[in-house]
Amino acid sequence: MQVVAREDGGRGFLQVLKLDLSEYEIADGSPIVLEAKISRYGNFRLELGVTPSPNLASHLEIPKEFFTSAEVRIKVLEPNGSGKILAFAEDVEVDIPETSGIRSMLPTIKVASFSHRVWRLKADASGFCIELNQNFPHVDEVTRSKEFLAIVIPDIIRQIAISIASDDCPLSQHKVEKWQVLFRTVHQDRNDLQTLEPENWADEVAEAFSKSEAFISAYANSWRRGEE
Amino acid sequence: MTLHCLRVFTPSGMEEFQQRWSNADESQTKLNVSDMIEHPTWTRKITQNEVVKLSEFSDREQCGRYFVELFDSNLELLRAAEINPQLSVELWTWLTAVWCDWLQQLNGKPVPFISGYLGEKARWIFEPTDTQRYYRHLLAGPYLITESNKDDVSRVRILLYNNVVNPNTRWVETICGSEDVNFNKNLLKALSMKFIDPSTGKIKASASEQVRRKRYFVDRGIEEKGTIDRLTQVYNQLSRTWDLVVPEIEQLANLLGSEFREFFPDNRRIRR
Repeated sequence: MQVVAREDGGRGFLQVLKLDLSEYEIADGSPIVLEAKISRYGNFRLELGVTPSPNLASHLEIPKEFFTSAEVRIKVLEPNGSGKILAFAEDVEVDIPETSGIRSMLPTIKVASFSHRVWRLKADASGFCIELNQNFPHVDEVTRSKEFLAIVIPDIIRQIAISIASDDCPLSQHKVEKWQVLFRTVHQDRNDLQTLEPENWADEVAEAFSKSEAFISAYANSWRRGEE
Repeated sequence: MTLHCLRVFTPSGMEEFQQRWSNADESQTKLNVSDMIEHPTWTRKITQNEVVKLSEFSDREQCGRYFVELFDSNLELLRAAEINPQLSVELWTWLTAVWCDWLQQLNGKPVPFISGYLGEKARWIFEPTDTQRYYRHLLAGPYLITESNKDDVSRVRILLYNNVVNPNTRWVETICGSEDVNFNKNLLKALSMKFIDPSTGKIKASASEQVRRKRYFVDRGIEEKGTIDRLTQVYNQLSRTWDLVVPEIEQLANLLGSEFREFFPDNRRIRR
C-alpha cells in the first residue's frame, strides 16, 4: 500500500495511492476504512469503498501540521456490518512532501510550533526528542547544513549528557544506562562523573563526540533500530 | 471588565514565566505574572484590537467554548502569525498569565486536592506533544475537547462539567489519556447521557461507582469490574479485532459486554 500526504491551498490531505489486498482471502464487498488518529485532536476517517475495488480517488483532509504525528491505519471490515476487522494495517508510513521539514536524526524528531528558536530538546520516559520548529523557513535545509551538524548536534549531545547525569532525568533507568554506556565508549580516556561536576563532564562528552568518529558506530551498536 | 489584545509570549517571556513558576512552586507561594501580560519584550501582539476578555468560567465547558470562539474569530490573524492553538505553548502560557490570579483560587481560597500550591507543571505550561499530559492544562485542556467536538459539545459534557481549577476528574484522566476512547463520539455521548444530570449539567451521584480506582478493589480483595478504567482497557483490547466506531451504541454496548451495562442509557439490551 502507499499513502501520501499533500498540501493544497494551505490545507492538508491524505490519499491512498495503492492498496493491493489480493493476497488476502477477503470476501468481496468488505468495507475499507482509512483512519488518521491525532492525539489531542481527533480520529479522522475515510470510507474507501469495498473490496475488491476500493475507491482510491477520495482523500482525507487533516491539518497539515499533523502529517508527521498522525497514526495512520487501514481496516477491512466484515461485509455484514458487524464491525469485525478482517485485515488491519497500523503505523502505515505516509510519504510526506519535502516542504514539511522533518528529517530523521538523533535521537527522534517531532514537529512543534514555537517562537524563533529552530530547535529544542525535550525528554520524557520514552527518550529524547529534538523538536524542529516547522514555522522556521527551510528548516529541513538548516538541519542538513554543516553548521547545524558542527554546532548544534554537539550542543544536543551536551544537553543529553547533562540530563542523564542529573537526579531528575525523566528517562527510564534502562535508557539512562544505555546512554551512559554510549558516552563511556566515546569518552573512555577522560575524567568521569566521580571527579567532575555534571556540566564539566558534559562539556568533555560533547568535545569527545565532536572529535570521535567512533561515536557513530557506538551509537549504532547501542541503539539498534526499533529500540528507541 | 479587563480586556487585552491577544498576545503570545516571546522566548524570553517563556523563560521568565517558567522561572517565576519554578520559584513559586519551590517556595509554595502565589505565582504573580501580572506585569508580564503586556510587556513589550516578553510578549508579541497577535491582534491590534482588545479581543481577550478576562472572565470567570462557571465550568470547563464555558471555558472551552470561550476559547473556541476567540480563536475562530481571530483565525486569520493567528494563521498570519503562524500560531496554531492546538500546539502553541507560547499562546497558552500567555493566556494562563492573563487568567493566572483566577486560576490560583477556588471561591477565594487555595485550590484543594492538588499537590503543593500550584499543582503539577502541566496545569500551567501546555505540553502538547505529551499524550499523557496535554489535556491537563487548565485552559488548553477544555479548549481541545470542545474544539474537536464543536459540532455537538453536549456529547462531551462528561469531560467538561467540572470546575476549571479543580484537578481533572477520573473521567478526563482516563478517557483523554486512552488510546482511542476519547475519539469515539457515540461512546462519549452515551456516557454524557447516562451520567450527567440534564437538569443541573453536573455528574450524577450514582456515577461514583464507575470511577473507583484499582486500590478500592485491591483493599477489599474483590475483582475490579465495571469502572471507566476497565472500560478503556477492554475497549483498547477490542479495538484490535473490532471497528468500534459503530453507528449504533447498542452494538458497542453488546461488544463490551454486561460488565459495562451501567455505562449505557438502556442497559436492558446488553446481551452478554
